[in-house]
Amino acid sequence: MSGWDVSDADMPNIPGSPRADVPELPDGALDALLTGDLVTDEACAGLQPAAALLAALNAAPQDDELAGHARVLAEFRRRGLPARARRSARRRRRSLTSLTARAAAAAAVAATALGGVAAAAYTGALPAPAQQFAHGMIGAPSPQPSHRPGTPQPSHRPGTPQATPARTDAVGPDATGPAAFGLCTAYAHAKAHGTASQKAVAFRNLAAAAGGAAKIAAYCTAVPHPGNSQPGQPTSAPTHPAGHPSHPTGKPSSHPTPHQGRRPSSAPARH
Amino acid sequence: MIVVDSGRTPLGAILAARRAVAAVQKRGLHRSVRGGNGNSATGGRFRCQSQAVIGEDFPAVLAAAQRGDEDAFTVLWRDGNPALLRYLKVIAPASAEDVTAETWVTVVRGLDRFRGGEDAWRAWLFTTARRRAVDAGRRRSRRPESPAAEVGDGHWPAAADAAEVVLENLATRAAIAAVASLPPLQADVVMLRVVAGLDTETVARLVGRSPGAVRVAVHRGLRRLARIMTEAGVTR
Repeated sequence: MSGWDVSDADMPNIPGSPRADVPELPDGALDALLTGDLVTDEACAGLQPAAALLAALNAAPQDDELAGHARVLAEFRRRGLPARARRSARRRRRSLTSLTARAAAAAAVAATALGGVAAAAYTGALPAPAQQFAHGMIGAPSPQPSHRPGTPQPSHRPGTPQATPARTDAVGPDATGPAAFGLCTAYAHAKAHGTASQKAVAFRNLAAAAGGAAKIAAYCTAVPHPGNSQPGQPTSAPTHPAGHPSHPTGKPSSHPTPHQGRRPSSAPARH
Repeated sequence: MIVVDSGRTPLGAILAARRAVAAVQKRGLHRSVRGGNGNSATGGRFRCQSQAVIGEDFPAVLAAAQRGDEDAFTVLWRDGNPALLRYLKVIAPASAEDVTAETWVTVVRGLDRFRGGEDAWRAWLFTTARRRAVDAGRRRSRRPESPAAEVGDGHWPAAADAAEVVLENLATRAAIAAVASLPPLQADVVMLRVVAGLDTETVARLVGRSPGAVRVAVHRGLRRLARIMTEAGVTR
């Protein structure tokens, strides 16, 4: 190849040749662009404006480009190495700390999610399959299509449980209608665990229906059981932990911990 | 720091590796481009922002990582990951994050068997990334619809303070989008030469073309990029 010191016009224009109009770029010209030097090569002088773009391509890393570190490090720890035994105590302590933090965060999310979903479940506001599940697990009312409160606000989709019903503009279920029994159940449960928030829209409705927060208990004794023929909450006793949405903190032990040195040295042989 | 060793590696080597890792961590990874012609860093309009390199400490850092040192591995990862991500955003834009993660899984599992210097290391990283992208059939096969739209006028700074502003997040993203708008081979080789920092021969092996074809493709790609920049209002 003779060509990068000749201009484009002087290059042979062979039809069909991929190099007909563009000569090879000398490596030195790219280096000059990368280092910010002026491109002295005449044929390549027109490339100069690209230098800023190349500089941006190689700009310092941004935070989101260094975000996957924990994941990769977990993989690094899992690989089979005799060096595992040499891990310093400092590092082990650090990983434990981060594990604990992550477990706590997971528990907090679970608590929020469970709280919101449980309230929805007790008021019968979940979609039918989810309501059926809640019925089985925590003794919430079974799903009844005719049973929907007409208000669309607390439409909890199971996939987004973080959307709690505590929005100020929410209307909440009608505490005088068929949802009353579920509300009463939820209220009793929440009160027993010290979480009966006066702010919850559903409970405010309940208080309004009862004629005041103090009268909720009396009101609820008068609310009829929805009268489904299924025997009353057989699941509440045996599968007890699930019936306590306000106590999800028992879970962190299920958090996957990266285990050490289990993989034999045959692992790296995979390609 | 107490390092308990099983006896295979001399303590001095371990301490040297520790020092090397600490030095790299302290210094930061960015240095001037390799193979530059000496007067590079200050001569041009744009301060050099070359691909990251670990440099002379690389052998010690690699050895420490192969012994299981997490700090050393972190140095390798911080050096390689941003470039890998940027490369994959060009050749496999829909799944760049996933392919990057898969690449590191492969690299971690093969780490013990790797032998070579930093150039070979980077070649291995990007070969793996490219293979992962191709394997999964997620490699970009056609050009995006309107490249120019992604690099609108507003994205490019005026020439006066270009050197500073061009370093910002937006500029990097715009630059990646601009390269992604090139025909696939041009985009591939430009990223491998510029961001991965591989030499022409290595890139040629990687993409299965002759070195001459790679130089032509780089040249074509840079011409288009220069045109995009000119149209976007950045003049020299």
